[in-house]
Amino acid sequence: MSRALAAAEGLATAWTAFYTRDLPAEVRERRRREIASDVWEHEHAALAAGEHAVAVAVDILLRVVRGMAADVLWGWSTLRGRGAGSPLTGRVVIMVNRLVIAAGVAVTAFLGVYFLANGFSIGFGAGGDQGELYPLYGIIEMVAGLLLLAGVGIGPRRPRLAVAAIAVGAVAISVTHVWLLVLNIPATIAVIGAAVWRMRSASRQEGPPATAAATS
Amino acid sequence: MRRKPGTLLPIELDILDAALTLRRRGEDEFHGFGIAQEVAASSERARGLTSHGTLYKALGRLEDAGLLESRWEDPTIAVEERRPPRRLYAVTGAGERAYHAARATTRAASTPARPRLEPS
Repeated sequence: MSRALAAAEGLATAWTAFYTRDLPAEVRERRRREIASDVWEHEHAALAAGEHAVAVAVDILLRVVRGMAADVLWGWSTLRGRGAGSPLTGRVVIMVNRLVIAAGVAVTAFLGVYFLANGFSIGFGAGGDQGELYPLYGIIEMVAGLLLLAGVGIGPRRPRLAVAAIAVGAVAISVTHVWLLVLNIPATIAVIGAAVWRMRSASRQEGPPATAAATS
Repeated sequence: MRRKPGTLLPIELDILDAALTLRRRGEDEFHGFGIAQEVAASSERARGLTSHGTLYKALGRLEDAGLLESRWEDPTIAVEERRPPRRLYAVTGAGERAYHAARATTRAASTPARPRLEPS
């Protein structure tokens, strides 16, 4: 198994262990085993279809991230003894996801503009005479800023490319701000991944519920 | 927000639709990833595989409502195939009726009203 797939599988397992930790043993074990099965089936079906391991890992990661709000709400309602038929309907999930979208896009766009401006400043402005590496740092920050903005811009149409652009931008920023490495890559990918995929699926969840007379 | 009894959310309708499609192909039972694939392939609304959280929450709701039933597969099969055991779901009679009722309601709601003829 590739490192990317192992990491995606590990993240899915860790997240499931986290949000099910306080649930009754039977419910907890069922959800954990179902997710383990799903991830295994996903990996093997996609690899058998000829998909690249990294693309499969990104897909698994995005499925985890996109479902986080639903997972947490399901956990809360199960703890309160309401089970999956909770009155916390899809509308609450949509509201939480919209907040995630807004926060993710706003933070990423802000960082993009900041690094673009800061890169220009230290590369060609006030910091330009403070050392021979400053112009290089400036260019790197400008490229990183552009990648973040490009990721936000193309997110709704090309989610995979957007996540890749933002990930490369985050790595580029870490060249000039090494201490950010441990934070910016997972956080940016997670937030923007959730944001762009929720945008794509928002219309699906907002569709009018159909009446099923036979169930009432 | 409290959900109106007897309603199906779009994701639930998609799952039942995909499950009944699989049944017509001779697959009476399905597992989580299998239904996610079928929903992605057949639903007009779906764009990609449904997220874990949304999928399993919806499956749970359908099972609680009696529209699906589930069981763990025979563990020896999973051992032989060297994979984790699958939770297998099947649409119940109530699930099939609910699906057809919901579809009929959706069709009726989307049928345009016949234009009224004006007396000449």
